Amino acid sequence: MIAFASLWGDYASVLGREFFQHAVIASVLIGALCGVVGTFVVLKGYAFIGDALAHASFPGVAVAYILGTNILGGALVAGLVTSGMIGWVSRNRRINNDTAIGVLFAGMFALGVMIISRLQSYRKDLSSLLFGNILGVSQADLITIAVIGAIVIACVVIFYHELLLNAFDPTYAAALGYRTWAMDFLLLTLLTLTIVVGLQAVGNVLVVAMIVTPSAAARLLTDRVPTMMMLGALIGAASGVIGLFASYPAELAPGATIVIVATLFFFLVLLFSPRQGYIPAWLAHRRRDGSRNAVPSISSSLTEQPHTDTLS
Amino acid sequence: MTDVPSPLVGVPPLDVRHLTVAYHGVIALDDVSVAIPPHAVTGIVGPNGAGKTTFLHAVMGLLPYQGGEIAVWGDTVGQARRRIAYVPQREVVDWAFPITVEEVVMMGRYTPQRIARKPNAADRDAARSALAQVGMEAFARRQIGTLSGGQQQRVFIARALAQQAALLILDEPFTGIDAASQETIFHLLTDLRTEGRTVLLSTHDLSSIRTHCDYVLCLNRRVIAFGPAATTFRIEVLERTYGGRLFHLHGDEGMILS
Repeated sequence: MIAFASLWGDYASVLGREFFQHAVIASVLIGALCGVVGTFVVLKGYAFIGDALAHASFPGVAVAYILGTNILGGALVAGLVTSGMIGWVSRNRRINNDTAIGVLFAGMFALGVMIISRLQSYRKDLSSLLFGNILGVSQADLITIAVIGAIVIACVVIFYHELLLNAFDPTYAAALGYRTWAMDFLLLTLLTLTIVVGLQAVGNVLVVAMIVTPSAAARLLTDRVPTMMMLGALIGAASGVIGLFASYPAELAPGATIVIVATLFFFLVLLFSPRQGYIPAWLAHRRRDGSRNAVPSISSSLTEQPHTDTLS
Repeated sequence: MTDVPSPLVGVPPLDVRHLTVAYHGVIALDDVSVAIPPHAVTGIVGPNGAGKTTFLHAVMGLLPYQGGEIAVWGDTVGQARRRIAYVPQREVVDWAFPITVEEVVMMGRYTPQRIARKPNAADRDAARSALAQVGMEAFARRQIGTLSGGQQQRVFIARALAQQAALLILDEPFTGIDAASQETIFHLLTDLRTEGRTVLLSTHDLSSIRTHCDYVLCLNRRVIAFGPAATTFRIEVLERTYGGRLFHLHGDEGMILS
């Protein structure tokens, strides 16, 4: 009881502080944005590319940090350069896309660490860049996050049908005359912008989790893309706020705590989702087995079996 | 639906001349020339690796080719894209994708000429009547993975109809589909032919060529034979197409053909 009261006291005092208010707003905005963009990243199978882009943006972050310019700009430039380089390197037939990403993401990341290691305050700077610094978000940062977020969401809404077509059936898109490389590049650009914004909250290493995990959880809850985007945004924003509040009194790293909350959401849904969860499926299976002995049913064998296997 | 574009009379829907395609220096198609006749169902047969899918992809402008010409009603593939509709192989579709039947059919209305555009009433009408034509309107709101294999194939044919294409290209439409569904789809394709469309499909099911196809193209990197199914589809032609392996693998077919 006393512990609870003191916890409440902690929150009451910190909620009045400007830095914490900024952190709450930032985690909601970033969580929601990541959930929307993550929907297409999950559907297109770009989780690994997302992780690579996040790591590869690190030298840009490092250079911007040393020069004292906008970190978001540095990350954006490095991310876009890397996506271009992945395309260029993998044009060599002996190097597939996957290998090109592996080579470039580790190389760019090492370059970033090397640049930062020139600084006196190496360890402290490195950790805030790698794992985010949501408690240090300024009002100017908030405005940047809101503007980039609004641009990205607007692009998703405007190009919704093209993004959907290219995720579902790129061969048909090409047959209709769409330039699929341009549609891929659009998604990669939106992904890079989202990564750049997400860096503030959870840092280079964990940002892909903010993009992929809430959307993956949402994917298990619905069979509609618009619903998936909304649920992804909701789970992302909730993870941000819950993670922030859970980390503060315990003095845990907020970025990591946010990611852990999102991961817990994912596993809860994986186990308990009424549609595709493992536990409801197991219970239904047991019920079916029980009733089969009592009432033999032939109706299901008369109709064609639905196709249920998945290609991923 | 009587909106099938009826382009120039006498010009074949698809005129392929001396088409040569190579992947990494290996010849996949060698000097293929064929004129696909209008208002007919043409089946392409040949062993695995014979270049059936390569041929279909080249015709849709999905891959570069080293030599030859492809004309679609006298136009280039690029000019004719809206008149060609593609029904992909079942294995390349992610059936768990969170998309409904009507959303798939609506994709037939998309065009790169009008990007960032929402479907309008005319698009919805076209999608609905395409679904009705394949008998799938009751399934409009269903997620595609919940359908049977035959129903899924009909949905993709509906997408081609929503596109108002005059040439339908189907890559292995009967793989993994039971005999009754195959029969339903063939009847649907025959109806589409009767209303003036041209159908080109690849298949492994040799027994259905004589019963359901008007023309047959026997392909094994080169054109082995092309002509009316009734007269072209003979044992010696098939032996040349399949290199003698056919009758070890498909014992029953020999009886049907002889």
